[in-house]
Amino acid sequence: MATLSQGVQNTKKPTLGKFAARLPRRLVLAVLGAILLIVSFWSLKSGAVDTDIQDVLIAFSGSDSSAAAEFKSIVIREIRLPRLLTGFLIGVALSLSGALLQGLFRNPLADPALIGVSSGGAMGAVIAIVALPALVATLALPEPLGSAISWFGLPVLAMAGAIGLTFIIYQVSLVRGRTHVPAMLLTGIAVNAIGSAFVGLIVTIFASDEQLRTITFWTLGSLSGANWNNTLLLAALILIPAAFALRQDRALNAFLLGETEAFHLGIKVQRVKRAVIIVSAVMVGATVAFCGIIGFIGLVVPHIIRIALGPDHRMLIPAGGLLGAITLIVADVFARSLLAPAELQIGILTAIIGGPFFLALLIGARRGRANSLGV
Amino acid sequence: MKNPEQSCLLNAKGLTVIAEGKVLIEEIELSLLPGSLDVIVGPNGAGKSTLLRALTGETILDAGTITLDGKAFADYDSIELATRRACLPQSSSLAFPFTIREVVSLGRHPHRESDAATKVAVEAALDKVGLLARIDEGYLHLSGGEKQRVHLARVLAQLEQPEGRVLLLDEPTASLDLTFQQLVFDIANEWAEAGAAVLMVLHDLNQAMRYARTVTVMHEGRVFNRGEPKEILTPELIREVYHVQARWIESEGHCLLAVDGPPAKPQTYD
Repeated sequence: MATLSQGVQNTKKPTLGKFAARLPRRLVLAVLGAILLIVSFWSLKSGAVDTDIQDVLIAFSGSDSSAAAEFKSIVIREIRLPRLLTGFLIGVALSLSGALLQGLFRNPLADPALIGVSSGGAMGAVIAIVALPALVATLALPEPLGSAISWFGLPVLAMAGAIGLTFIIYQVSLVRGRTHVPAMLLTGIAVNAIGSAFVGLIVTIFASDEQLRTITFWTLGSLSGANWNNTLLLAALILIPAAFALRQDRALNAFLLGETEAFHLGIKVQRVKRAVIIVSAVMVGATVAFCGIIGFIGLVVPHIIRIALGPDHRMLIPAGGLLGAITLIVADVFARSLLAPAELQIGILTAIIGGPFFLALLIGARRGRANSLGV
Repeated sequence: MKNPEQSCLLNAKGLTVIAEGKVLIEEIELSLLPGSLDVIVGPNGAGKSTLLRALTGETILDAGTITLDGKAFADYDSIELATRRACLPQSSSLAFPFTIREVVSLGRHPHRESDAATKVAVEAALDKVGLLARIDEGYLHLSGGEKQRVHLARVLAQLEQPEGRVLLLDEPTASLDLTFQQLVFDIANEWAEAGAAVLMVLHDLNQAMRYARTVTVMHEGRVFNRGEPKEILTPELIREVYHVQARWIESEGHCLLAVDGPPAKPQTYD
């Protein structure tokens, strides 16, 4: 046996290249954390009102009580901080739901929008916006109960739409107790078409209702509605699923081998699948309710992490969450400042950067270079 | 007073699997003893793969029971079961840029252990399949045969040691060259001798004749015959099950199958 194994050991050089040695997890997370802190400060000081780092520090320490400083502090604390936190949460949610679904489908091209989550969320949200105020008015509910129902009902219906549709797709694609992935993806495409038609129809009929915003809000997303109330609700809806996602790292690694192999390794396959679908639907539903559909983050961010750091979910999930947050915060700063005082839809920016990036990856993959697309 | 079922590691009784009205396997009885090296052969569609999938516990049985050490599969915790039985699939669809080390490390999932312990087990398994020197290479760059060896190492790392383990191999030599076909049979033999129950699905009757201690011939969803290869794999059986005329040629202790063509008497279909 010894001579046999010596005989077959190949002298070919390692072909993984410079990524053969994976970077240590703690170092990567520390660096990403530091970058997140830096872009957060940058985000807080950027905007229509001219402020610098000093103003940001004053806003949190309250060490200057002059009227000018007070005004800047209010802008930073009440407008920019909730928007920063919203960006952070949305970035985490989009990136993690992408990573989770890609692990589930064992296909790095899977995206939250792909399986109908995003359009399901958008359908629930537009129903909430049209129906809830009408319901409150009909029942003549007293304030603040009426606004509370309208406010809280929006993400709830969006998540319900996301989860509901995902489960319908899941059931449709269930064959003999197991998910048939191509069927699930194709059903997702059909549901997405119905979803965008539905949203387009409702938005067109109720175009006078300014609460409904515009079609572009739903298709290209925006953080402009961020305020403290929404941010706190978003935090609960996103951080709890994110904590769950962090605990599924090993199961998702085994999933990459295939469902059968994962089962052989002791993974409770159906339970993990169900949990991953619910958790990613909750995260995406919450983001869609408040910020519309923002594309490409869930696709590109996990991809970059895999190329740079490998596909191990113990790295991919925490690092992907941080990089997603960084990406969305940076994109939002540009969305606010590029056409100031007008604001660019953030989905335009993520598509402008993410689209070509992704095309380049596809072209690279088609040329036969070793890649992580599986195409 | 010894119950024969107690000495048997894996015991399958009355396994029946029906899919969409079609009976895939029916009333299969199979028991695997520690130290056994069983081979399943049979024509395409005979139910070999279905039987193997049933024996891993992944298939929902329409009838029958499977026990490991006298305890039903259903009563096992999934992690506990994963440390006792492993299955090498025919091929893998893994399309993510793991290194060889990382792929084999996935086999250690059922073992709650330190990174250092994983490293030792992974390196030992890769040494067995002759890939230790290439441990940090990218998995996606490997040839089909090399990938199959990586997964064999993953499965060995999963079970960790042979004693009391069930090792299921689905056509393990299909994409391997002669050197590594030999390596796989050596490993299977070694594990069986050390107390594992090894079960392989094979297409090549020469390999079955040479390496099996017990051969099970599947035909149309049932066990057609079971026993020692020399007694079972007769030209008569091969004609009946595979519909070809064949004979064994003995040479220096080896048996080689010569296939002469269609059966001498054309079959009548009426």
